[in-house]
Amino acid sequence: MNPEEKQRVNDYTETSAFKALLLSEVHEAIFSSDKNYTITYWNKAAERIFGWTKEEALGKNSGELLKPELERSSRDRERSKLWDTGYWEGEVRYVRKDGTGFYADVNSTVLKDANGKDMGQVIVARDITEHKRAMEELKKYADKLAATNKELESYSYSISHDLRAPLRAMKGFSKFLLEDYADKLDEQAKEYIGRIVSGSDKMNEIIDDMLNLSTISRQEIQTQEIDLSAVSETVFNTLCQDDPAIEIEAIIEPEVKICGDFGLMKIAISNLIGNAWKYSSKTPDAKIEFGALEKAGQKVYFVRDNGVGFDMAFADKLFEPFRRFHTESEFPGTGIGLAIVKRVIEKHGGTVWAESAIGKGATFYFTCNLKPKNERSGDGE
Amino acid sequence: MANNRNAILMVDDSTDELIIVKRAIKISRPDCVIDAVKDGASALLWLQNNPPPAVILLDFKLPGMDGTDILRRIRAHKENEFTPVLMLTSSNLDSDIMAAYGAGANGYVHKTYDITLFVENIKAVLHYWIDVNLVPNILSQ
Repeated sequence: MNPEEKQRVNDYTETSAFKALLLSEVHEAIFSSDKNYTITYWNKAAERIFGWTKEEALGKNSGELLKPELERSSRDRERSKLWDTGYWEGEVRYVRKDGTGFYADVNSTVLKDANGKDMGQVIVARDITEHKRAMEELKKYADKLAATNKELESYSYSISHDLRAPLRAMKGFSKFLLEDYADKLDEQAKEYIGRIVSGSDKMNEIIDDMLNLSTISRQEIQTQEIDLSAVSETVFNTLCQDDPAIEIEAIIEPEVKICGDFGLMKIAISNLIGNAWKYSSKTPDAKIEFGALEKAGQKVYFVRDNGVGFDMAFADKLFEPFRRFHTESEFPGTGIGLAIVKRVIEKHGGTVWAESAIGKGATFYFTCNLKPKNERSGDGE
Repeated sequence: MANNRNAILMVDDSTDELIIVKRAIKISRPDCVIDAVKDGASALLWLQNNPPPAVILLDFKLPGMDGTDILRRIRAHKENEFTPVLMLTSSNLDSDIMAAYGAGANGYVHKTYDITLFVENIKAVLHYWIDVNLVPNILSQ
């Protein structure tokens, strides 16, 4: 646009005819009133939205004509806010000419005369009935989803429980057979019964993990400062005690602290270090590392081992429940551990991912985005 | 008719559980006799027709009246106001444990998956409630 053209456009847009056109054609209802709330201006959209023509609206008291209602406050209180600050915005329920109500997103600005004295206000109102309906619909779906989820979780809880009773009988009676009839059973029979027992034990372990998974989903998070280094140390030491024949070196970065739920984080760290232990237990010079690093300005925590590793092609399937990548005889497990880790980390607003190559060990990274709610307010005092 | 220090009443609808507990008692408490019923109505009938047992082992989830319903009714009868009632259940939910104590249970034993541990626990609670703990001999008063 050359300077002359620009000037011409500017001359036109500065005309009152153009400004009147803008006010008249804009989609939002725009109207003004004086200090006594008598309507002094009424645009075309206001006619459409409220149903009152300009002739009908002008000179009327806006409160009487439009019957504004506020959901959580009184009209007087909000009006004093407007005159005190010069501006007000919020949601208002109005009544149309035909008596039907609707919700509007409203902002109101005090108009002042040349001497700075309050003259009245200009109000811009947008009909949000549709938007509100959509939000309500959405909320209804969200509530329904939450209810279904809850139902599903309690279902999985009770299923796990109901599975345990027959399992207990299987294991119990197998043991009774071994104990009470030891002299009547040959070695083969005892071995078969032993297999029933270990089958039951295995299933019991799966049920435990399923219960853990559903408990973790339902549990409310309680935040506190956690020394992840200390947790890692404890977990590692327990593994050493349980399996003294295995020699693995631990390299734990001291004083790595995060804000989170202690119980849940301990479960996650136990699973990650437990996995590292399991998959490096057959590696000579096995090492397990825990620490934190900075990635793109974000604190990232990691558990690293130099064990058997996994094929990165399966990286995204790793965290699905019941996914296993090794046979039971190679490395025992239920396939739920990493699903539990994922759920814990997600509950902490973080993400978890892994990097590995077959035979080259694996590194599991996670982030945590919980802010210390209670402590923060304490700091400020 | 005095309280029966050798009788144990077990209320459980599972035959498996009954056999497991019977075996545990046979091994650890050969002096005790266990009588079993499968629901609340039969339990209340049994209590009507027999002197208070040394201990009642009560399952939580039963067809019809559940464990806490039965327990409230047991407590409503003067003869069994102080009879030790131990809940024997597969649930270890806090809400269930609270409900049991709220209804007047004396103890709560989890049916652990580990049967050996469970048998040990049964032995221990029976020893306490039968040999150590004293209850008033209501019927002789």
